[in-house]
Amino acid sequence: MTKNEVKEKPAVSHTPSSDFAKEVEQEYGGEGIMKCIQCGMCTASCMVASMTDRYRPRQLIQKILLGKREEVLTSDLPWLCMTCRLCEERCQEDVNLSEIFHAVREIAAREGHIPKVFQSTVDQVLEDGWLLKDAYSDFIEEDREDLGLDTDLNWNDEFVKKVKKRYLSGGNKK
Amino acid sequence: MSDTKEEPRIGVFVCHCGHNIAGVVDVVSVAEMARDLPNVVFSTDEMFMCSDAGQVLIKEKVKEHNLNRVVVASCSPRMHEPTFRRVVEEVDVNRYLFDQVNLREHVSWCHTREPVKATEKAKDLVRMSVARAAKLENLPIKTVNVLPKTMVVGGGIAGLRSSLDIAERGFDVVLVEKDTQLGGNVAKWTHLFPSDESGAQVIGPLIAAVRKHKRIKIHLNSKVSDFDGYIGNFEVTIKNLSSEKETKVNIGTVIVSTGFEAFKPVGYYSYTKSPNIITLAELQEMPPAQMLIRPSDGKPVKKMVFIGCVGSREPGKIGHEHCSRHCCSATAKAAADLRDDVDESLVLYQDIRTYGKGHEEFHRLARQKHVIYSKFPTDAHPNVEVAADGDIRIRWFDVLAGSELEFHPDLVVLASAMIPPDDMAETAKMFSLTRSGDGFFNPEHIKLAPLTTHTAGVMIAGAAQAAKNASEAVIDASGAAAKAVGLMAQGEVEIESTVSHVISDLCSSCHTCVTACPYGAIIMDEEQTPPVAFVQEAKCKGCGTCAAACPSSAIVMYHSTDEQILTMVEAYLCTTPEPEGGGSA
Amino acid sequence: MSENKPNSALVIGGGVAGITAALDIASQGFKVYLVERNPSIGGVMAQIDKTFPTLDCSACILTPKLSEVSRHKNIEILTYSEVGSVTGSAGDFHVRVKRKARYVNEDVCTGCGDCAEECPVEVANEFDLNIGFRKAIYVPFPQATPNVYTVDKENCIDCGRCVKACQRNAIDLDMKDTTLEFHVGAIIIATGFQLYDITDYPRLGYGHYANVIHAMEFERLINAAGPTHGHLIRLGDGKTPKSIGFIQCVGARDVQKGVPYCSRVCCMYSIKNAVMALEHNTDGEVWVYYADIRAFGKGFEEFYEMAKKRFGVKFIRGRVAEVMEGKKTGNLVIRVEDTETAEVRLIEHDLIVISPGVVPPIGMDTMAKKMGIEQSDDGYIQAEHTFFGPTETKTPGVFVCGCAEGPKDIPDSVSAGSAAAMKATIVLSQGGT
Repeated sequence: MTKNEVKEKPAVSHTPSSDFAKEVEQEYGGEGIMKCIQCGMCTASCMVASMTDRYRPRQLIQKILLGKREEVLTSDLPWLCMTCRLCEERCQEDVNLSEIFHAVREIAAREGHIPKVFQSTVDQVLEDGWLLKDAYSDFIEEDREDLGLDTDLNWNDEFVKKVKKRYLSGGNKK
Repeated sequence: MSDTKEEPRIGVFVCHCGHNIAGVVDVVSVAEMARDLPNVVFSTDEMFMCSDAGQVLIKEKVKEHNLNRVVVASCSPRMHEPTFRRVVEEVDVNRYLFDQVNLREHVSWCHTREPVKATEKAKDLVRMSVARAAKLENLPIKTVNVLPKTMVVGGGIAGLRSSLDIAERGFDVVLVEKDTQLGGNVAKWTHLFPSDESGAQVIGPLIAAVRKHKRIKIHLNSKVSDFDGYIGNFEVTIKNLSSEKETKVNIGTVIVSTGFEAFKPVGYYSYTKSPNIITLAELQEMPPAQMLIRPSDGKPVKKMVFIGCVGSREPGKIGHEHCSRHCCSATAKAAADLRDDVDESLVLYQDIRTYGKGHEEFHRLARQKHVIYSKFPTDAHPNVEVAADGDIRIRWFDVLAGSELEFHPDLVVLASAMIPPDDMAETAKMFSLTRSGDGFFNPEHIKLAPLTTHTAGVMIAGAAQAAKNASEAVIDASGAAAKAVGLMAQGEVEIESTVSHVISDLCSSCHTCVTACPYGAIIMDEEQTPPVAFVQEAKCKGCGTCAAACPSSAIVMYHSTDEQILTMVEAYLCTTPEPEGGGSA
Repeated sequence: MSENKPNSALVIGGGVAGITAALDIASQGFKVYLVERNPSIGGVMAQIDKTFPTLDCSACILTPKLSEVSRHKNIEILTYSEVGSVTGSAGDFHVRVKRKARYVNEDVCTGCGDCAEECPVEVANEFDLNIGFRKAIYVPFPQATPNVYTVDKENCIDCGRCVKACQRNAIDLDMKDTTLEFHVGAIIIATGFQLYDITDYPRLGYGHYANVIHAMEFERLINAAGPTHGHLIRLGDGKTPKSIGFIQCVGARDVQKGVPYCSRVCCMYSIKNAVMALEHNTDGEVWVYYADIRAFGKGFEEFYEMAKKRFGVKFIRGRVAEVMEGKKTGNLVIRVEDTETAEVRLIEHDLIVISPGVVPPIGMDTMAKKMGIEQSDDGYIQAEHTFFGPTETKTPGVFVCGCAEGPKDIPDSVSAGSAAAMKATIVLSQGGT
């Protein structure tokens, strides 16, 4: 969010708290969040930030450090990180943002806050075994046949069964 | 020594100073013009007169052409006059037969865009100086002895360190402290940085060593009430503040280490509106057990906030424009040290200036321990309000998150400015020291002479010189001690001969000069009848006020005589050089 | 002063800290050996154009000091020399100094320069950061002290033209290194610093893009005695840069590069450089990209304020992520987040000046180990104690001042030089006890 955006919203004051940062710190991958000095190197390097005004990884970190738990967990911003790691490469305090955002996603997911877009993608994979079932048209099947490629791509069904068994219904939960 | 009754034989050396002068002034033509001036026997231009090559050139030409006056047209005399004076002395030309023309600060640097006019001005100035040089006279080189005793004013960490260093070096020290005990601000603090020592642990050994040292005489609860004399021979009166008893001491050098005061920021952040709003200094003075207890009701502090730059970095507010240097680091250390015992700790800042050795490390430590750092805008400081029930509410805008924030702390710690002690003006007057914009004393040169002042024989050290931390004050203290010892170890020091002199036959005993002299250098010689004015040369600064004031024209300014000055005016106004007496040069 | 104990001191390093220490010790009547590995004393300060916060001309305030050192009867300057070994203890150290052959007789050479005129070899001038050239026989800068020439034997082709040109027969191309041995009671280490090698940051383009330079190169460009006679131009095409960007915290406050500490001087020297850039080109625009502005010393904050208000230097709180080059123009675009507005910006500049951090000088590790002096984790000489011994090392009788102990500016280096001198003279006066 830019400063202008904030001004447009009602000025509801937040009370800073270190609880959320501690929570993230406890989560695997979130350990280094305290190191951030807010220099902006990450955001200036970020591919996503250069594409959209609303994603500023540095600012997101500061919100976590200030304890804006509700705002961050219900936001889709932590999910926009592409995990390209350029920020981690360059961060002079050695903050692993991608890891941290992943940790935040874990917490968010546990509380049921997964952006619809991500959720639907995951649901699709769990159902079809892969993302492109709807796009696998007859024309493509014919092309594959002509090229001598296997046309039966349902081997992913097995994989999905295994995933569901292991992670979603009994079995070892992560 | 040259005989000043001889015909003047003047050598002129015009300096290019690289491009500093030559980039604007046509130095070659200036040197050429000088060749035709009366009494000039040799004239040249040279790349860098101050370099070894330039200095060797002067010496060679003095010998070759039997010069008895030297004019160097270069930078400001404040830069290299001592250098060139030494050079001419090495070839037996009295240093007062040397004159320096400022073609840099007074010509090339201020008339950069007008090279033609600048060159004309340069020629004028050289012509004037040559005319003056012909009238210059030999002056004797005088020295005064330096008493092997230093007075240290202020017994804080800097004063203690200076005293010890000088005493260990084998000189006597008189240490004057206005408080009833030694140790200054450091003694009051339980908390220091970057290491974990308390103020007492640091200052204790110093105080003990100072008390034990037989060369150090301590005057507690005392101030300097009178300061007279001159370098090497200061006459000091020390007055005990309770008994009013006065002690007179003669000393050779002085170190002023009067420290600082922690600003009480009344009017900032509701300071004084709640006992739970304190300064960092006040926090650091509390015993550790008390640090996290609310002053208002004795309940434990669970939430604390530090606010930086209180009363510092305020452009336009005299005495509060400077950065107080130590606070960002002190705050980070205090926040880190206290974090484990509170639920939340915030630091509200503008910049984080943890610049020193080990400082960035405990800044990181504070963050690691979950101290929350929040930056507020320069133009919108946090708003602190104290409710009727004593609740403190702080509201501010966190610039980096773009969020409006609000906090209700148990304790607010204001990192307030380091300012001069309230008797700073008095101290400045006593020792003839000037003060800079930050209110602390002006060093002789902010970069290359940070510990000496324009008052010869008086040094400054520690926070008296500028806001700094205790470790830096200790370094200053040892440095100032080195300067003092440098004067005392030689046993004597040269004084300027460019002083005023009363021609007693002309003196009408009116006392005008005595009152006019800003340095109190003139006294009446009571042994004469009637008493005539007499200049104490070691105290005279050569300012010329007495000579101007004297209604009988009885005072002569050596090296700036009426004749020497008027000849410059004539030389300026008459552009065609007229040889004296009408004959040819 | 004790009978058999030497009452002289050794100062290693002829920069401003070492010079200050030497003068303070000498003024007390003790003898000082001032050893400097470069052909001249003066250190980094001799390369700087103007100094903060006063904008004093650096060489102008330094040369009187060089002069004073040179003519001081108690100081023996040993340039183009290095300390070989030190044995003994406080009060009596036995020092061996290797005097590198300069192939010019110091006592005879007057610095006239006839030899350099004849020398056919031109090499990159390290004093000018390899921007300009010097001859194989050279003085590093006009006010070099001592003002004698030195032959760079590595690049000398032994043609002998300089030998013929010298009217004083001062040149001897067969000179050998010599060793000097002496005893001193105290030693002061004042070996200064070097700048971080910023080729370590490929994302900033230094070494690849013609118009990305670093602060010391900038210093030499704006210096009237420098390779462009003080004209601030782009080295690629000679154009005057209108828009200049300064990038901070490069090789400093960087945990990943092993330099986690603050370099202390870069904020201030960049503000000074920014102001100088605008003095050189009043139509210009200057931007400084930073994480914190550390203007902490006497007069520093006021200088920062003046840079903003009077000169209009623009400050953006945000570390620069990358520098990109426009092939046609040679201009550069930086990507930065203005953290105060959360805007990601691409800003074009004609010239980029990177402000490198400060690190220990070349050879510091070797020297410290050879002398048995303890170093801190950062590689600097470890001071004994912050409060009780800030200029003392862990080795009695050996002191440290200036940047050898850690990054610092000129005023702090000078104070430390005097402080170390005080400590050294106590040792000398007490004969080492």
